[in-house]
Amino acid sequence: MIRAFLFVTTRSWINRLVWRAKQLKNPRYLVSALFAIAYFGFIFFRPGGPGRRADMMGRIPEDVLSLLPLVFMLLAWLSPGRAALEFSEGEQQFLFSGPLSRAQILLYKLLRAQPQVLLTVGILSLFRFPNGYGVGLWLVANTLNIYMTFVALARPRLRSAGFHPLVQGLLGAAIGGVLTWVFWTDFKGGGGLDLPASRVILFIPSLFAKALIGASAPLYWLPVAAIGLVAFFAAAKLRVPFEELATNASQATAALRTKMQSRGAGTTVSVRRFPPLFRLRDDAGPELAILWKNLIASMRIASPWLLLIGVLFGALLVQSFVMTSEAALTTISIMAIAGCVMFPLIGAAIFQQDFRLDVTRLDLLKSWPVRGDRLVMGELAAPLAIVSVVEIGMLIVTGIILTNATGSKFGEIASPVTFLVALLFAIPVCAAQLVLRNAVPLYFPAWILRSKEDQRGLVMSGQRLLGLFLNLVFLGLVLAPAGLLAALGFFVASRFAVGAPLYAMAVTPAVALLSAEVWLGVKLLAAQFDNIEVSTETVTQ
Amino acid sequence: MVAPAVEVVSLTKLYGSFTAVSDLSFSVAPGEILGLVGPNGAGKTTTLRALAGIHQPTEGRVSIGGFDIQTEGVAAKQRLAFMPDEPRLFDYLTVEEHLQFVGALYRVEGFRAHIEPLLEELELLDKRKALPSELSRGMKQKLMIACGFLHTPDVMIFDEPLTGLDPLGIRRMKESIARRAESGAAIILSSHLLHLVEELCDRILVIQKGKRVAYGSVDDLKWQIAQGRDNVSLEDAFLQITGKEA
Repeated sequence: MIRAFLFVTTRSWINRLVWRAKQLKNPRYLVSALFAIAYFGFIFFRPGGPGRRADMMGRIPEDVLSLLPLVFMLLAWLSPGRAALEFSEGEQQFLFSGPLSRAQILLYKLLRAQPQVLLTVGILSLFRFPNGYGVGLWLVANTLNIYMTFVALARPRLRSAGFHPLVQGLLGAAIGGVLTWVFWTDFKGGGGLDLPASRVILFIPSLFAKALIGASAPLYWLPVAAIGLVAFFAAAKLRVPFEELATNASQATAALRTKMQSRGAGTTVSVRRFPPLFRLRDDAGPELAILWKNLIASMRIASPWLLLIGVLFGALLVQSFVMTSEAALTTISIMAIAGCVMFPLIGAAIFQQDFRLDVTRLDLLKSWPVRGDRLVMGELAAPLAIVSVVEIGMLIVTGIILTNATGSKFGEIASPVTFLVALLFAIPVCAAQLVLRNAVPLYFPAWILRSKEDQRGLVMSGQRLLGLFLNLVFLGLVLAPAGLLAALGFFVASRFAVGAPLYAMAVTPAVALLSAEVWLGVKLLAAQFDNIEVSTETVTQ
Repeated sequence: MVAPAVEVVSLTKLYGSFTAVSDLSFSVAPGEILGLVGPNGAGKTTTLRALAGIHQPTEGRVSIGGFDIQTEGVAAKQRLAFMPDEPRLFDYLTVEEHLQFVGALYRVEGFRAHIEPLLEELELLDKRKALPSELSRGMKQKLMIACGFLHTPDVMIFDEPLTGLDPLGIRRMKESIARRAESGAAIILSSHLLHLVEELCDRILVIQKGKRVAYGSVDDLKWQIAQGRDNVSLEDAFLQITGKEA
């Protein structure tokens, strides 16, 4: 049986590695993988980076190191424990209906986790605990893994024995309270955790700590392995409907993961009954229809963010009226200005109800009777309207805050000229960022439409990092000409300084240039949409 | 002679070096129902997607209502409804909002007046305020089809339209499709349910490995393979034509 388990585990990993290696033939995967390697290489191997630091584990006192597994072991009783019983659909299909004992299934689960455990142990040994013992780390990781499975099965067993989860929780809290009291009393006495009560409580966790560090660590590997074996057989013998519990836990974990992914992708409907913002007329036409649809999407998916932003800026505004100290007003001003500067970037990431949301339906979009440029404008309109309105609102609030903060360092920039110029640039800057964000699903749809297998890994990390890097680079390139032109306009206007209207006129060419760049971007996106080949890769996700 | 509503001439579609559809030609007249059948991987979905303007043909021409789908895409798609096998709905729009959106998208005059009868016909009236997540697979399919019916297109393309429907839903859907054909719509229907194809379709196009292997009425196809035998079904004809049965 073990041979079959080893075969499945090793073949799965080899196939996955081969599949990922084959992916690298495609330049877009290769580039993102290389970018991720370069980034992580820089993070870990740069001079003074984590790889060069002294042995971290050696510097942690043993008492603290013993407390960590204790906390972990106690928290296991409070967590839902679904992950500990998670099996894939294929595993449920073949293992649960197969002629296997629970011990065999648990053994398979343990074997299945080994590649990941070994990788984690390897990375930790290399970068965090260079003088620690990999074997000790591996034993502790596996023992805690088995322990988690035992707890996940023991909790329903206790429940079936009459211990309601609430009683379990209260009991856990009481035990936690007693332990905290014991440790605190001991700690106050000085000299670490050396009272007999502390020693007894920390006996098992200290075995884990001792198995990790010091010359005598190998002596503790056997006791740790013994604890793991006890937990394994206890989990195998507990009278609980294992298959049912594991199936329910797997389904709940999968549903949670899907929910988290859709939340991350901005597709989760959180305000289900938010009414449409306007009535769609019969003669509205495709662009307005798409705007209407995306506004509904934004409000039903992302409106809680609007509330949050409103509360934050409202609080800053109130504080600017209440606070009198220069330091406080300076802090408030910095926060408000930072919010205004960052929002075109953050807002475009929050309100992604455009091509980024519709990319999974590219085939549907292609079947609509609408030209590419009109479709692009319709798609961009909703997030642009929301992000621009919020940005302008934030600028107005910031203006009032800065006016209140005349005594602070930022008070002097609160002039009509500043606000006029900021307001003139607000919409084109937001539009430029949205055009760039929408270029990703149209030029690299596979970077958005990731399969379940593609959700993690080096390539995906590289895609995200590269996407962010390219976004900032291109935004800089788009804004630079307009910025130079605006600086030139300011310089000329300052020679004839006669007030805000002249400054506004002076920067108008720069605003026009930025708007023209946005228009060009829209045209390029439209051409790409018209030419994009909707292959199976982009529609079957 | 009535001009065909759909005309496909030498349609070829390559994915890299793989030929999905090769030199395919056929036409569908107004009021006619054409059944598109073939084994898995025959190129049916690629053909339908090319007809809907989703895939660009590598070679050949597709015209819908006399408009070339590539060069006059907007006019062609205005006359077309494509209903894929997997309903792709918007998670955040209710049933009624889906129809309002499609009404405005296709510039349907007075679309609000059409929504209620359509929802009634497809038994979705009590679900008008529901989001797709609150619908069953069959209801989603019906909503997708309702969206396709709303602008009374001249050409309707169905890819496995009965997936997920209950027996009553299947009967109603067949009636709905037949009614659209009677009122002059040209319909292309792809399905593996050969009894459905036999019951509904006027003509059948069998494709295999991207190529046309048979094209004609159900009776023609049966006659071709009957060779004096009685009680030959479309299933027998299909299996013989595609070489799945000796």
